[in-house]
Amino acid sequence: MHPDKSLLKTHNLSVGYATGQPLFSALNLSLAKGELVCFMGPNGVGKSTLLKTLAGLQPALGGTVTIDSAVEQPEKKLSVVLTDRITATNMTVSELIAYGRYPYLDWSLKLTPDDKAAITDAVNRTRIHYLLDKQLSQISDGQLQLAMIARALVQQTPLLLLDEPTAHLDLNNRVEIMNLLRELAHETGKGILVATHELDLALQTADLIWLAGRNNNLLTGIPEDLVLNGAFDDIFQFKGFDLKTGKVFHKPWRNMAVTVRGNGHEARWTKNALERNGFIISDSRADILIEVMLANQQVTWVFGGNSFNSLDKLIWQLRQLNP
Amino acid sequence: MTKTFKKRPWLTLSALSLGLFVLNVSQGSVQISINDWLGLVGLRAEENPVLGDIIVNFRLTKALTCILAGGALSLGGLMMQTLFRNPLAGPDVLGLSSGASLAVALLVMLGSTIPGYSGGAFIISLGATAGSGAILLIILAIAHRIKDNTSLLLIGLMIGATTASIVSVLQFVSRTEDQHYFLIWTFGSMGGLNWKELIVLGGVLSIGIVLAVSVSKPLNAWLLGDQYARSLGIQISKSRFIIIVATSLLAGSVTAFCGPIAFVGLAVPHLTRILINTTNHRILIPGVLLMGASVMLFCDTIAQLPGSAHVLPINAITALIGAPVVIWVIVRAKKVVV
Repeated sequence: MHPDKSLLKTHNLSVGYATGQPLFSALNLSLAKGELVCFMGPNGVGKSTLLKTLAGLQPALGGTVTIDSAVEQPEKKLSVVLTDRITATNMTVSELIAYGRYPYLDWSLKLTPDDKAAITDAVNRTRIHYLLDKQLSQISDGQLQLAMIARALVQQTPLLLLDEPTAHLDLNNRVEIMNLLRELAHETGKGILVATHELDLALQTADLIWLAGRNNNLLTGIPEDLVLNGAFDDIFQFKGFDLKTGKVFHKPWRNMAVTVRGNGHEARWTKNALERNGFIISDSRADILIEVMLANQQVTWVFGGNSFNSLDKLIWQLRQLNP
Repeated sequence: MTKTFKKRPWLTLSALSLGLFVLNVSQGSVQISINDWLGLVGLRAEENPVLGDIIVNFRLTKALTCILAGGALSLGGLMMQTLFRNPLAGPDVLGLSSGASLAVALLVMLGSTIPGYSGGAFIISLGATAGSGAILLIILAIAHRIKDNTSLLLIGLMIGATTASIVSVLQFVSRTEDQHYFLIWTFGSMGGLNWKELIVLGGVLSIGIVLAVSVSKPLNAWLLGDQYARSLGIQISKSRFIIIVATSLLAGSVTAFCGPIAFVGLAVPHLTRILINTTNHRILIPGVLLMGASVMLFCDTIAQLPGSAHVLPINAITALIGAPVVIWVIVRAKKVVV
């Protein structure tokens, strides 16, 4: 996108295992400074393999990966958060984070003030002070991911690559991690690449999407462009999910049209509830009219002269109309 | 005890080793009292030349052998557990002890058929060194081709099983007195070394310890797994080579001089990790050296059967005392990690 600011470039990169067909071929990608890129694709398409090849942990089948950086050592150019489990669960979080300084330490492993400052900064950014003395066995998966990200930040590399950092996390933790990564990209100017299949979150946080295509290729673009041009629908082959509305598709099996009059979240959730229950939402005036009223923080639904204080009661009433 | 240990691990460990060292030297068929000790260090006028001779030429060499062997085997165990990220690994998993055993079995049981072969402890030590050295070369050749540590662990175990069965066959076809001699060797002994041999052992072990300390950074990084270690700039192949060479020097030379000592290398790293709760090898390495020395001194003191002139095989004691202790420690700590 911004060739002047690109940190990582690939030229005719071909990725996969020597014994099989390449998973991706002829890739010419670029990852810019200060950009959060989400690398998406169905499971098993080779996201981890490409990520490891870019990180230099796996040899490429062909082509080159170049990282624009003043330093020589690859470990000072690029840090990773992988899906590998850490078996030494008696390790403390602060020991784990300190590993990020290894590229800068000699055999005595003595931390200089610079090293300590880098650690403090990473801990501040990930907000995990309260975890430092805990052992890895005592913290949650979400907290472990934050610690792994802190460890990667401590490495002070211009590039950060993460493989499924939000897998196995609940919604709240997923949002926290993705927001943190976006914040990091924009505030520290790092180029951040996240392999993920969390469609909804990626669409709302990524600056750019790399989408694994059908012919060993990658489509790139900003999330909204890829939604509107149907690239996502083509790759993911959604079954019952409408990406453009961001909703699960419901079949209107009741054959009853309803018009909802009202504004804001209240009207939107009313429509959601009715659609889920098989009603057709009609914008023109249908036989059934529901008015959503908001007074003193209290929502009331008016239908056929009666008012209801919950959607549950309203829908129960509507169902009685069904022959 | 455990509380003091956790607060001041170094003071406690050093005091423990020193206390066990004095106790070990004092125990035996001739008891050495506090008065004798005072005389020996020059605080009392009377001197006992016989006692001095016993201490300098037998007890001291034995106690120092315990310290060297216990520390070295434990350090070898620590490195193998980290390298293979497997709590069941020990210095003998690479088949080094069994390589030494095979060489000794060959010498003892087939040596009598070679005209002019006279045997002797030094030849046995030399043979054991050659045996573990040969296995080391095989392991290194395999390690060069196989990059996966778990596969390497399995191959080491298979080599161990193969050599063990060759030893069984040799025992089956050999003479009763040779079988007996071999059996005695497998019991292990801390008391067989003179000062010259002790210096040789100490020299070889020093090289192993220096190598181990030099790879403490890769050892730490290994705990995160190969991929993370590489992403931190660790040269995997080079450090793996150094770790294997260091372990071979440590375990191979101890086996050569003291026989195949079981249990210590496996158990001491766990005991140390539970008492000094860290994953940092810069702290763990001196920790296992001291703990291994203490455990070995303790086992050897028990083997002397305090108050009697009998001596039990050290190998039986290490397992007999050690296994219940390890079970107790693990049950208390609920689980074991590398």
